[in-house]
Amino acid sequence: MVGWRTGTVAVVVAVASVAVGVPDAVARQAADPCGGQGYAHVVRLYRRGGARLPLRCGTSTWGYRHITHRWSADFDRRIALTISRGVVVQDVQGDGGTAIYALFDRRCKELFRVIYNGGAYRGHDVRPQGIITAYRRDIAHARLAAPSRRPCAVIQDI
Amino acid sequence: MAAELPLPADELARRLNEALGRVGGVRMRVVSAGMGGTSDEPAVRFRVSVAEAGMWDVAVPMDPLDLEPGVNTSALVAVLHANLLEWWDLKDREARIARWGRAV
Repeated sequence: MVGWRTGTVAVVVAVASVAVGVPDAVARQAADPCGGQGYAHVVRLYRRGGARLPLRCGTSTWGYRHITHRWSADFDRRIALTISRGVVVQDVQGDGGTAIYALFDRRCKELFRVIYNGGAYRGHDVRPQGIITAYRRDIAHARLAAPSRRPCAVIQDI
Repeated sequence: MAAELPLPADELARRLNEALGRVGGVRMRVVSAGMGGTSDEPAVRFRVSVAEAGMWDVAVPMDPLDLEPGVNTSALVAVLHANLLEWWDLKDREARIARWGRAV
């Protein structure tokens, strides 16, 4: 009986050890959605009308890996709002693919920008390439407010 | 040994300038382009002219994967265009971005 109990305890400890390990693995996956993933792996899909725009893992130059240092739940929400409700400048390269999505406040001050390539990354594969980068253009706004309903122009103030 | 641009430098500059010109108010022009860095840590180097802000040298760090021959040149141009806009917008706020460029 003692032996059985010892064995049972051992099994319980072993199961507990595994159980402790699983949440750690899940936490690691959640912390780095691109850990062990290739550049084509889709991290998020953002909606604009009926379209789904991907954020792929990418490389250090584009995609999630390019913006990972900015990433947070708030940043994720800003991307979602900008894509779903923002102003879009299409066909930036004249090839039908690249677009800039911009979120404005009620005074047409640009708050957030997402630059996107709807074309393919390699040949006809990895299409669309997806979000290249995203960033806040105005750091004064601490929280997201309702986006502008007025038509605001996307301007590069260089 | 430095990596190579997958397309001629003057073509890259021309295509970037076309893209830059499609966003209202943009007055950044790519004057020249070329490769820098190493094969492990390549960078695409630009000299850009910014209206009322003068000339800047910008080195956009690249992942070697993005310079492979299989990558569409349109995708490369899109990435570099986006990175140039990002650099200008964030150079005063993000240190890692600011390191890319310096005023000439």
